[in-house]
Amino acid sequence: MNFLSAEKLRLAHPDLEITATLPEGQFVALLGPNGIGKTTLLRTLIGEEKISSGSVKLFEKPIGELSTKVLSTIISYVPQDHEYPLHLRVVDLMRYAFLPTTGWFDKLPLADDSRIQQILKNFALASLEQRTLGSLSTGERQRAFLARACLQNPRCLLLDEPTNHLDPGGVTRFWAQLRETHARAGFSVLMSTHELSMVNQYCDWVLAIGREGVAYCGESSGFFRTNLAEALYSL
Amino acid sequence: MNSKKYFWVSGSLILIAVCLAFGAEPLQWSDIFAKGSATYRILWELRLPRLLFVILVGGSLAQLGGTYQILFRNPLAEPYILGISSAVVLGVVAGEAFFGVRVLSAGSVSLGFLFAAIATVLLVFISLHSGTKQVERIVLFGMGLNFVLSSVLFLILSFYNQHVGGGSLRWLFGNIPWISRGEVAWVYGLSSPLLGILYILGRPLDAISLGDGVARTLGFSPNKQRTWILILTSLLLSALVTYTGAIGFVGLVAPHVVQLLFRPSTSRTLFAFSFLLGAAFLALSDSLSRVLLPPFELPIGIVTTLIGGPAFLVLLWRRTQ
Repeated sequence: MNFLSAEKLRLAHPDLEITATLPEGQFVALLGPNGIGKTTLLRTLIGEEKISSGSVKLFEKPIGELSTKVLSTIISYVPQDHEYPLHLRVVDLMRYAFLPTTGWFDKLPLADDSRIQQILKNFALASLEQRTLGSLSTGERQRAFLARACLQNPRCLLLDEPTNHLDPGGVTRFWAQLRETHARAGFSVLMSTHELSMVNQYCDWVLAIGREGVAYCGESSGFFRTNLAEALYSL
Repeated sequence: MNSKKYFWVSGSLILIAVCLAFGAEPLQWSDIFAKGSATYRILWELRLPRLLFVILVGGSLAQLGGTYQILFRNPLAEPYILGISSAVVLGVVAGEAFFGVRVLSAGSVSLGFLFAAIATVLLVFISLHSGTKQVERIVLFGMGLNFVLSSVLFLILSFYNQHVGGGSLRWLFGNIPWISRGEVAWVYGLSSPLLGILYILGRPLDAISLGDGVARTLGFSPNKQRTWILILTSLLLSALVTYTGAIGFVGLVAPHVVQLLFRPSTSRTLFAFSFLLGAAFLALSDSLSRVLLPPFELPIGIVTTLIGGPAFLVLLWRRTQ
């Protein structure tokens, strides 16, 4: 099944047309110069932005037909500037990953739930469990946001330049962690990024958006064999 | 609940109960069940309804403050941020100045609700037509409303100050009136379901606290839910402010104190603790306002700020050590 298929998709702001198909289960890098519409595309997929014309399907279902409830079982999202309550503890952020599946009159899973403890371990957050989000370093916080998104057990994970504010060590660790989780859980990943060396190392697939529309959509090895990157970023 | 929570919860409840003993008149404790005695009348017909009302106001303001702080993702948000209270105040003062409608009368309360309803409709319109910029648009519009309504209010006050005497002028500073048991009952009747629904709506607020985009992928509709919360909080606030005017401080600070002391894991927990702490704090302030310079009652807004302000600063100071 294809996880994403866009047909002559025109988004709310940038004026270009996107036609692309992404097979499921791949770790896809969304590349393109700033302002081209990467964030808009991601936000359109989660329903925050409207489609101008054309169509886009997630797992063969048109976006417009997916209710918020259904969407929450398919997608989890890590935005570029993630808002967060300063005093929220890491472990409680993990509990929020179960919001889609918990009834309004039921309690969220407790802190000692095995799934929560497992994800804290996988993401090396166990020692930070009781810390508040405001007291963490940026790298630790990004890791927590990623862990929460993975804990939702999505069919696809959307990330918008998640390593923007991280130091080189943080960047490497984030990519490695994401790759490891992807390998284990098998969900599709669509991540907008500028880190070409990391894309080369970790991503299976590249969707590159340029000023003419889709500049490349295919295996990442193919992308790096050409000089498309130079053209894309006007290097 | 751990021991710290037990301490604060039981402390608050005890404080609230003890407030019944505060007042301008000393009570004969042997007479508390003697019908017809002065003590009986003071305790059961005056102080208890008043205390119940104060609990509702203090608790509601605290819960409203917490709600807005999460809804708008802004630690400086408080119940009066959207201009609803300014609308109520304007309605009440205009009523007294132009039509001689006495403050706290049914007519005055109705005028307050009317003006608040108009402000709410405007806010809902903005809320429904803001797309992804809902938070900014609503907050900015509320700020604008506050400015405009305040200036109109001051204009009225400057021209009509001979008609606006001990009535609305005193009430403006924030005031706990001596209202009848019937009035307390009806305010509880209106407020309790609203507080209950707003408590339940703590669930979507948990998601909203992580950003509208994330909230959507957690299965909620932030824009729609924000509009509903706007309407419900507006109704609740109007019901209270028509009686008390704008009592400051509690709505802004109580949720922060709860955050600092308890680090509540969900919005619902925040609301529960905020309600309790807000109720206890206002009960204490009200008692002190009547006991410090009897029989004169200090305006409660002054007492809350004079006591709460330094206490809050001390709490913050110790946190930074």
